[in-house]
Amino acid sequence: MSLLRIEDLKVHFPIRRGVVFDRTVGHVYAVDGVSLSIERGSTYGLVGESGCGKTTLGRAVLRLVDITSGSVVHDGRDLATLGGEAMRRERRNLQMVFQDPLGSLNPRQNIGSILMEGLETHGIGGPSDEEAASMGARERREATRADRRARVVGALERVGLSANALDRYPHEFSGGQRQRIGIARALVLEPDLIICDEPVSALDVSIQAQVLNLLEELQEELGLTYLVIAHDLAVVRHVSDTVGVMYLGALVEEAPSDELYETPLHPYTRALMSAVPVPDPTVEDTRERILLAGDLPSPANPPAGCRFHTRCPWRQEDRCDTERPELRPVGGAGHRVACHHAERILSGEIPPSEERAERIVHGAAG
Amino acid sequence: MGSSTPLLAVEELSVVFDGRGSGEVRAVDGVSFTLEEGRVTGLVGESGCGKSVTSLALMGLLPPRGVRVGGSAVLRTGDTEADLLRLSPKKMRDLRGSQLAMIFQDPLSSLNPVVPIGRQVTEILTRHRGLRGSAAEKEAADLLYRVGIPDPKRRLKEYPHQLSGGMRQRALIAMAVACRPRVMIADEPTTALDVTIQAQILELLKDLVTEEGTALLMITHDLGVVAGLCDDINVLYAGRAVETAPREPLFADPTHPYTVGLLGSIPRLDAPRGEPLTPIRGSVNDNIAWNDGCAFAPRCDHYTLDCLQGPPRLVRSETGDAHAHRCVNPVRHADVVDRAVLESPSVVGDEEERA
Amino acid sequence: MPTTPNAQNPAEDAQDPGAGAPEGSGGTSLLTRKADRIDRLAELMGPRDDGSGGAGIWLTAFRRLRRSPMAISGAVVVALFVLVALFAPLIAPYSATAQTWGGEVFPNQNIFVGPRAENWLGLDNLGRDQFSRMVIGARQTLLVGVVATLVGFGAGALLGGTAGAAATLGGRWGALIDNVIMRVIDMMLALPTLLLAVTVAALVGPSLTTVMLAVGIAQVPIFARLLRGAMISQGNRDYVVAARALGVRRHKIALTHILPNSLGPVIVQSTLTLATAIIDAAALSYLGLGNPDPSFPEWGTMLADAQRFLSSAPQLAVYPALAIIVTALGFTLLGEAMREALDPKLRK
Repeated sequence: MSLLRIEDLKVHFPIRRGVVFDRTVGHVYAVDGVSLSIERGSTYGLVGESGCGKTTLGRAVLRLVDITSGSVVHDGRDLATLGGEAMRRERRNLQMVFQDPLGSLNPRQNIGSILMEGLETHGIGGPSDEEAASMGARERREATRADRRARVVGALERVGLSANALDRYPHEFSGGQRQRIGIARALVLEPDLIICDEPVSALDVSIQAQVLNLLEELQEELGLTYLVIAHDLAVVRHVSDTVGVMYLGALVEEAPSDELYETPLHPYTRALMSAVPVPDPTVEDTRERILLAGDLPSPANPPAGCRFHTRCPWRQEDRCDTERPELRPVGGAGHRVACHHAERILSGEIPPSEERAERIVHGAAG
Repeated sequence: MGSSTPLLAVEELSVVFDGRGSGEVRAVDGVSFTLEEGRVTGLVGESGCGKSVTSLALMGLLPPRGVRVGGSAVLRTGDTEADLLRLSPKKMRDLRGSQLAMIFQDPLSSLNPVVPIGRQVTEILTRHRGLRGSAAEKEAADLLYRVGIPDPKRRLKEYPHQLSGGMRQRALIAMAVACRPRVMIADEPTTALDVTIQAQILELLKDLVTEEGTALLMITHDLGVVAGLCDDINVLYAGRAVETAPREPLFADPTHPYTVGLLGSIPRLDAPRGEPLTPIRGSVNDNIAWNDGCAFAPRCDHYTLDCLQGPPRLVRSETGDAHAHRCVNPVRHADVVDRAVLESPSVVGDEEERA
Repeated sequence: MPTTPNAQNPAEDAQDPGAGAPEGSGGTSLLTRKADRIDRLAELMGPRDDGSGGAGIWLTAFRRLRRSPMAISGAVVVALFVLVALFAPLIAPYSATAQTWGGEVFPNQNIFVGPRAENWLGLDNLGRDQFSRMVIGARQTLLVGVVATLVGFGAGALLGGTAGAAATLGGRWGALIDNVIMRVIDMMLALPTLLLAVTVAALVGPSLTTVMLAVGIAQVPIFARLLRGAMISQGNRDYVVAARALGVRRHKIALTHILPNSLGPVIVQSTLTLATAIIDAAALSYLGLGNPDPSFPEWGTMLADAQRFLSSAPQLAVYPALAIIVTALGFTLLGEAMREALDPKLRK
């Protein structure tokens, strides 16, 4: 059974206007019907450009934003229906790593207190019940403090920092170290799922690899499950077992990492993939490049039919602008795609229209 | 680097900030490169390597006080030569926009938010090309169309906040190319943009260089962008160029350990999944003064005692004339091909012996 | 942690010492050279302040303040003022109320006594020692300034804090609470400060308490808006989301995360408010709404009293006026310097 199963999740933010009493004048369809599931111990990568709703999706899983409809089933419990207090308790099993390592650490807390906070909140740590029974109140407090400190130091050491970080403040660390602290904060609660929201995009190139390797090591040692959210397809592909591509609030394609790279089916995935720069001049000079025309439509007013049809070079006259395609299995090996014409595009039956794409640079010709 | 005389020759550029209390900071420390017609020169490096300070120094945009700029940057236009670092502010203002143009990272903060795009473009046309009224407006619309903004007549009347990030960057490029500058400096022009939009902008820059013969200085942290766009590349670390080369040899046979490390740190889209990354340890703050030795030594996997004996010089590499590295103990091709060799103890010992 | 060279090259530690060294007894020389280069690197990288840390925002800000001339001059003025006010009875050479030299001053004949050896600042219109009155007056002024600021700070922070916390963490109901509080504050803000103070003073009757209350209430909307704004901007920061993701209770997030990070500008504002409060209190006293009891001299009242003799004895007005200006300036300087020191954009 999968550890996390999201079904038809929708998060719509109301757009409100008014002086004292607000009127709702519309909605931003940030996440609009996403279903996915993540197996225990695996990494699910969610990729998409800014405004596609990937961050909102991550926060919705933790109920940090209000869920409009749908379900988020974690370990058999539907988080979407949990009450406030029950959800608060549940958060110890689901943790998050943020994009901005400095912004996500309270500048006035030292590292010790940042890491201790989660333990205190959930009352984790301390002597076992039978041990506690034989102790006085003071003794018990001492034992609890010592145990929590040991856990915090353990988490710090796991991420490659030492105990003398405890008394220091976030601004005294470099970007990579701060991100390690952010990871330690998540680890200390011993969660089974960690949501990594752009875990490396704010870091220097040479530091990114350190953090990515650290995440991988932690997964191997602790059997963690990750939901990695990023805009960089190369990063996502590197860390993920399964990759989901989001566009304008919905998944357009989902496939195992290698399968997605080998045979991208959705036109958007193909465009995205062709746009990711590769640090190799020969590859850069020879590969196919699909330059999309225009920009992302507003999520407050998404286009009818297929969300991508306004920019799609393979767009057809039928169905594309009227009927919203479902995510359906195509081919084998867990490949799902939301495109009416996926098979015909793959076989080359439908050629891309040069007018629609700003330009398509073909292989060697470019 | 071709035989033609360069449009802009930067020699031994250095920028020193007088830190209050904490001593001086050498942000750029003897950087040399040339810009040639129709070619793209790249400055690559991480935060704090001095790449942005270099561009600001060339544009004369550094704060007037507390900064010392050394070296020279000679711009040749026609028969005249001018050292950008020694021009009077007024002459510099005339050059900026007409001969020299800059594209910044954040298009929103580089555009005036309360003036329509059209006015901002025509202003430049009026100032540098003397165009007025409907002629300026028509030229402005042409410019926007040329950089790929659909429906330019309508866009001219819009304010920056009404445009999307990609459109804003295009508008900024339109303003930069308004006067057909000979030299263009782009400082992380695509970092704030999404990849699909980044691809559009890079393609646009490429066209400008090939069609107009503009010389482009591309400043970025992204080696992928460099691989697709730049002809000559300078890798900067802690204010100095550690490796300079045309792009093919740089990516095929990187010789400086820092370049090798950077390439090993990037997850490649086309690499098989599970291929391990080989990060550079430590952070950019872990360095030593160039005068004492190689600033990269604290993070380097095979530094030797020689690396710590004074500043390393920029020396020519075995792979070609234009390829040079600032390293006394460079990585050889064989090591890169089989990265495992690098980490194996016996090879490190080997290096040691050689040194 | 900063990279320490020796811990970083595990490959070398495992290295086979006999890997063919140039000199005969290669192994040892190779090892010494390796040690040499590690030592050399450590030496060049210089001392790293390991574990010496623990410098919080306030400490760094304080370090910066110590280097700022503006802060130092402000602090000197404020410290002088506070010391004088605290030890006023010890400093004042004579009684501030006794008309000891009443026989020497005849205001209706334009006979005043200027500075002289026994009365450093001369006598006032009733033959009292002006210097003693100034010193005792400092005490009243400080009391007014501090109490008024505390009133404004307390009430303003309570309202603004509630509104800010409700807006960031309270969901739909919170937004409503925030809306209601802020509209009330807006109404208060619409009234000019001095007019508000005069109204309060007129309603309750002239007394020192009135002045303090009136000036304090006039500051409430400023503090409320400031704190609410700061809290809302902090409330959207990632570390607040992180605390929620940890499962920290909402009231605890508001009190231990959002509030402490929002207090900086409010504390700066309170130093600035102290200056305005002193001036406002002086203005109210000048308008005759201050403490009518002549046994408690107060700079504003003194200024008002001196007005009648402005043409014949301008020094009587100049002393309290100067004192008010310099004190207000001192607090303003200190406040501005603190604002700069706490500004995150200027922090390294």
